[in-house]
Amino acid sequence: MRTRFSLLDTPSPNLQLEANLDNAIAHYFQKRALTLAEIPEYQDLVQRARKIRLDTLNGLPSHLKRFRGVLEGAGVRVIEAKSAEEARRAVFDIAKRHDVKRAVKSKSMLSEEVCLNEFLEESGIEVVETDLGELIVQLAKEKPSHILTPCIHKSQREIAELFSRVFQRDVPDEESAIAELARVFLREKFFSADMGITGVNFGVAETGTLAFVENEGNLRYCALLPRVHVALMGIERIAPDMESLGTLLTVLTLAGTGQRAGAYTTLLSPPEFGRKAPEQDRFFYLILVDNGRSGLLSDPKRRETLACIRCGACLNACVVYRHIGGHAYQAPYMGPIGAILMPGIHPKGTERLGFFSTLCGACREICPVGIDIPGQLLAVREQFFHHAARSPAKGVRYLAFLLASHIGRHPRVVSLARRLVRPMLAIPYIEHVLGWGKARDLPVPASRSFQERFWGDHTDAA
Amino acid sequence: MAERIGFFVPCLIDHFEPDVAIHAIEVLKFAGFVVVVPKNQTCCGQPWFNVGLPKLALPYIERFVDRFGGLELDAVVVPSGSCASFLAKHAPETAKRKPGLYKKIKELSAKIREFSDLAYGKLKDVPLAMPRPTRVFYHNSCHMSRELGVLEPPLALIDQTGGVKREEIPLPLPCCGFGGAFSTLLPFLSYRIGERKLEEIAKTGAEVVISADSGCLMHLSSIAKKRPSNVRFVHLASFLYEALPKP
Repeated sequence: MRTRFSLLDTPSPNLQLEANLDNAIAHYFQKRALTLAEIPEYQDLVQRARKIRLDTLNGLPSHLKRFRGVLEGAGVRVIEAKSAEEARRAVFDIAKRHDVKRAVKSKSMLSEEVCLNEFLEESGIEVVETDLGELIVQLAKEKPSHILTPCIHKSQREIAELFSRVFQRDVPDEESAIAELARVFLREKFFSADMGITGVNFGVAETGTLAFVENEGNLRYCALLPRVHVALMGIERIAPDMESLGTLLTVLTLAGTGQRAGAYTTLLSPPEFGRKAPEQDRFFYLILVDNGRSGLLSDPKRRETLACIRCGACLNACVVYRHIGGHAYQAPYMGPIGAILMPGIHPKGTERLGFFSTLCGACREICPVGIDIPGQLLAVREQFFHHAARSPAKGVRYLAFLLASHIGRHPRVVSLARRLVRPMLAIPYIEHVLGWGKARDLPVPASRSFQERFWGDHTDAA
Repeated sequence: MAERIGFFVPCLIDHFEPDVAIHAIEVLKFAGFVVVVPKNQTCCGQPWFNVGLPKLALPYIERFVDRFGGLELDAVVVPSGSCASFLAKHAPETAKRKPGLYKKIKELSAKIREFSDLAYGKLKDVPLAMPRPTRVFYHNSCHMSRELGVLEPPLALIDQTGGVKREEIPLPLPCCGFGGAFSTLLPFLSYRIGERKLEEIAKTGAEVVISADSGCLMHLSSIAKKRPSNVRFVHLASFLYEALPKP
């Protein structure tokens, strides 16, 4: 990833993308408003969920220890992966051990984060995405552009065209036709897969329960049909007990899709795992992935970012995301949460994401666990300038802001600058030199400032 | 006794739209305040705070304290939502980086009042009226509503003004795309967000866009100049000045 801002900043907007995002997000807000109208206590739930998440993060090591203890006591194999590399390697080793040729996967942002698909496929293991949105993205040879709705950047017509091309038949622009085709295609994959790969929404420390939320039923197939199930879970996705799990699941679906609950909520507890005992030739593995999370956790100013429960609401609320879509972020996590999470877990080349925001605060307002995303964005921006001297692009920006700050702090210098700038605006094409004016007419400064008018031209230092 | 208020002039108003400050002061005087304008004010420092260089905001906070401290003011009025939100909500935390500064700014910070918020208390029973019928759109400043929590006063002031019809768009809160440094780092995206906001506003048939944030106004009006449009962009202070009862 390059430290360039202009990558997505082009004079010609992508009108189709804007329209697709508008449609999907308008639908989201309608549904959300209808559901929330029935839940007057929603803000109380948010406050409770926030407290649960922050308390959990503050005591994460002990929660994790307890969680592992319960699982391992029940004979579950838990693997710790410090890095993306370790996580990929762990899945690969399991696949080799069990002679896996084909894996079915249910949507897992964590597997995107560790680039699992590419790695397995290079190793000769077929990976089939089974979440409809994720399948669409896979067939289009693209990446998800939304945490919850991976193909949000595509219209139904574009999806029908894609399916027509891939499946070599005439697919009408109809929801049912697209879903039916995917259903038939996936059915065969589910039954023939050797391994199922899923994410985990929450792991409950008290009981060792793993909670999964979905709307299509594909996750259950991935978890239960193949003889091997591998679940990838970020170390921060712990709920201390079943009661807090209930609160978290409620705000997750309310915020994510405006549903009171997902169509399918699956809870797997250690007895279920027990049935996948070796003698029955059924295997379950849980991979706990750190991949930079410990760093965020140990920074009290940045820890809050890990409270995220991946509902995707902040993407929908973000005016920047709604114009550029998820691919512009060039990162597995996009939108406001991507902009604060990526620089925390993978700083190289992602710190610039901190500037993909107008700091309007819509993300904080909609976040079901009340993360101060604008505050975290400011911390990312500070981080961006922290090593300004090491990168020319950062250095130039730092010097520009430093110079501006020196001009701005003296009223007389500002006035002088204003007088110098005024005639310069008549120079042809000057707007192309000054960043702000590249896209618009530069505003003309006044000939006399308010303070000069109010006090007369020669202000004394009062 | 009349309340004594300090007048902070946001830098965009000071150097680009000085009339707005004059209008704001006239409105506040009409409302019965004694308005004190300290000399040699500068920017509040928000741009550096927002861009991730809070240390560079410190000299500005120091100057603000130097100019407004010790004047025995009942309030400090700021006719721009985002500057007000910086001074009220973020300046104290930022000032902790410099020994001694926090205590001084904390005291002043508590006195910060956004212009419409302060004016509304005194003007809510005044018969405001526009000279001719006008359809307006109020553009909400994100920082003003979400950080300061000032959402109702400007709407109430506009709605009580005779001859004014206030138009709305279905999702009224989305940002205009200014975002300070954002508009310089991602100028085309910032332009496009504002352009689409203007398209939405145009559909309402409003002739005047009113805002209480000088940043949003400058951004939107500079985009409008590139488009065929007769919409005027007016700061709430200028709107109220025009609507005050004439002697």
